[in-house]
Amino acid sequence: MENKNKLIEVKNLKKYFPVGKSSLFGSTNYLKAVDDISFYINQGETLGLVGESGCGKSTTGRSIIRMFDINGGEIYYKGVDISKLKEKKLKPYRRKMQVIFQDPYASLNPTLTVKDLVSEPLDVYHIGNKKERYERVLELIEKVGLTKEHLDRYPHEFSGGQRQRIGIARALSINPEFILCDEPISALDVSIQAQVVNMLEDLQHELGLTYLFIAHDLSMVRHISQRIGVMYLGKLVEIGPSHAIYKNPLHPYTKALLSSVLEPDPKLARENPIRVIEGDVPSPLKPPTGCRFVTRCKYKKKECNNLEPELKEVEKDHFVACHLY
Amino acid sequence: MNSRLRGNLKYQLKQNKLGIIAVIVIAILLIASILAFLAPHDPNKIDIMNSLKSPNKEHIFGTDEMGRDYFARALYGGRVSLTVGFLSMIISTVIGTIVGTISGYFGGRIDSLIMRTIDILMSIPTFFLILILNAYLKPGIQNIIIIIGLFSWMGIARIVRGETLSVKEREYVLYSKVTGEKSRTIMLKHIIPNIFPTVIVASTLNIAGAILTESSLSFLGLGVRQPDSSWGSMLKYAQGYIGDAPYLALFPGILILLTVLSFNILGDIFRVAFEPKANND
Repeated sequence: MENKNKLIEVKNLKKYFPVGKSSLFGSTNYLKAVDDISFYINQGETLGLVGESGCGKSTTGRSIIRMFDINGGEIYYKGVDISKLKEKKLKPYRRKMQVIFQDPYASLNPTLTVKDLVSEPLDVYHIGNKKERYERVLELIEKVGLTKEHLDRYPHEFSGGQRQRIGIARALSINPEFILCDEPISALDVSIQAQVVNMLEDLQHELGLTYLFIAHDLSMVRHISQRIGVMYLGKLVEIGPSHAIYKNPLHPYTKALLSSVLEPDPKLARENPIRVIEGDVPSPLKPPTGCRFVTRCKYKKKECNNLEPELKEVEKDHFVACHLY
Repeated sequence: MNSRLRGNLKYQLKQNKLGIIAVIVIAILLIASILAFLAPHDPNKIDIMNSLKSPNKEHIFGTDEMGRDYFARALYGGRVSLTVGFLSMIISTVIGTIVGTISGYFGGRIDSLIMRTIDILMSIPTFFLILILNAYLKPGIQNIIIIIGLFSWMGIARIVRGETLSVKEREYVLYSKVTGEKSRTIMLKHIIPNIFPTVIVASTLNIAGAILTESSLSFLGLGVRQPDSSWGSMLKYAQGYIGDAPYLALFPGILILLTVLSFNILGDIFRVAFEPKANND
């Protein structure tokens, strides 16, 4: 890939959360939510990020949009390292990056009307006068399938899917280039999920958006993403084009994860039973040395216990961190 | 306040008979003290011939040692007490909300500094501080309101800080932050409106406290001066005649009790109505 096409590049990103500072002199333990991961997102594509709860996928996304300071590594936005920028210098980049959250109930201020919610980013950047803002809000709200009558209502008067649409309208209002979709569909019911995902896709084609799509529903991720990254316990274990990940998963964790996707056809389902991974995720406070997946891996070798695998390019653009390859 | 809270409040009021009584008492006292000028007698008209008359048709609360109508004095006194209660509540709520929000929102050193200052202020017996300050200031309603307001915001600030800590992690606040909103706007637009129910509870209880403080001050002779009256100062003058005319102490005493109790009950109802978890008991 040419460097020009990369909208976002993350290098050696680390985010540790301090936990359990029990006494005044006790040493602080750190939860390594994201531990040294690198990847990039091309302009106009959707990168899906999957993994089970607590594996650090949301933290990765939130680090990119600078919701908090990171502990190490760099985040390049169009070649500029934004990971250490102060708030003032960061503002032009904030305008280009938006976020859609998982919980449409928690992500909308219950005391504001839809009109105020959607125009919030416009107010922050002082875009247009009152009338222009109103027209922009109306245009956006119609784009996401709501009507003028909804403008003066409060979030609690809407269903989950409608609220998520309001969240999407809000994210679009300042014409961002990049949208972090932080599990935008996992709180919605299945029929609404498809609507929201299709809307996100249409908007991507129409406006040339770039998404980082975080989810744990693999079939939805496959549907929307061009490339997919798989995370396990703060590490990126595999990343590659979606068709390659689905046709030819390399990492044992990815294989297990994909086999957990439910098959609607009962005949096929009987032929390919779910391969359950044994054991639980180890505590992220004390991750295993060597490969993070070693405690649950069927194929583990000697070096897996001591040596941490690096991401290797096995096929074109398809990287995996595993000693088997 | 959204409609769910309003609904809760109605429900709680319906459930709680005591609450309805409290609201009625507060409403009567408010209306009575606002309309105090309609009282049949001048509260300051001295009529020595009629001094210390027990309650009768003409003077329903009786007359005091100078023959002034006690009912009219109680009404005007209520005006003073309620004014002090409300205005000092507003002062302390405004200060407490601002300080608490800043402390909770920014966290870290600012938070530690503010919280330790509050700890220190709270460990000084406020009442004595007020007494000392009062000695240097001209006694009068204005000064009392300001002093009580300035020394009773710490509790509110603590409560507001706690709420802010929880609200600032909600996703709409995070969203605002990553969109580049200024901290001040985030606090005004997102945090304060969402902690407002809690603020209302705390400030309702503060009214009761302020009325009590004012009464105590007046009782000690540091509040309202003659010929003006307040419930506290009425109690003070009733002291001398407690044997001959016990009703002089009874009326202002009952009025203080009713007001403070009503505000406390009302505060409690607000608390239950605004707290979804406490709803089901």
